[in-house]
Amino acid sequence: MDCQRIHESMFLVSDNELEDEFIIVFREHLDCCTGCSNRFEYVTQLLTIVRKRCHRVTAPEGLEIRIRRSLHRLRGAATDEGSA
Amino acid sequence: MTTQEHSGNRSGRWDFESATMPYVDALYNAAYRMSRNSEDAEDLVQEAYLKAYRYYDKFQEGTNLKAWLFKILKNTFINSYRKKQSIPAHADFADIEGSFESAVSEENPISILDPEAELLADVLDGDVQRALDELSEDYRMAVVLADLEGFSYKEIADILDVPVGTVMSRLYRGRRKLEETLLKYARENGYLRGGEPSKMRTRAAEAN
Repeated sequence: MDCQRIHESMFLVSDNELEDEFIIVFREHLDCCTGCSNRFEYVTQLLTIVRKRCHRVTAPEGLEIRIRRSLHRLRGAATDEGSA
Repeated sequence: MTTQEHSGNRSGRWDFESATMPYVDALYNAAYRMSRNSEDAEDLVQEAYLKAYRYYDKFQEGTNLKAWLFKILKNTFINSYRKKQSIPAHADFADIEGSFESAVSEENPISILDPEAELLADVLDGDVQRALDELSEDYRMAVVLADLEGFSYKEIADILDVPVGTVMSRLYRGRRKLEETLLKYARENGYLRGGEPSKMRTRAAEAN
């Protein structure tokens, strides 16, 4: 496997999207190729930053109540139709 | 509300709320990333919940409920919100979207230099959000679903109604774009803190 192929596969390896057999060859290549090994370390670091450091917004407090209320209204309307 | 509603409801609509409410934060987070404002995000999530409730009997038990809800959210966003905003669909990169192979082959394989790895240390928390917001919509959605929500490529393909290859190329391009933007911010942050050797090198390289 050449460096270009390894380079192309890095996101897929990080995303756990490749078969074990491929991962073995991939790791073997990294063990022997400093360039690819450094690059993979960099890619991993980059993805960790994106995954861990992107601030997640949580739903505003009233939203769940608002949704539940509108669901109840919807259910109420359906029940009314059913009994009509 | 009466408990009689429960009877004779095979699809378990009564359980709908308890099954789906745990995802309200994740859905809101994704809606916020799509619409980039809290008011629209709330409306989107509520609309998605109402739709999901009405079509709950279409949900196939044993499949991923969270992915199903995200799919509805995405469709809600595209059908109502985007129409409202009259943002043309895919206009900005319909022409450049291609296969994963073409995404990768555009790359310069030696584009990554050591100083850039060091630069990542200068990325601040707010930078990630800012960089994500700068991505075009399709890339942003793919990155949010993969990196913030942890969906598999197949699940993302299903949510976005695109082939897995398209997910791969969107993720590839989206992340490379993110990387570029983050490095730009990191350089700016580095300048503000005063030049250290690695930054000086990068600055010198940039000046060329």
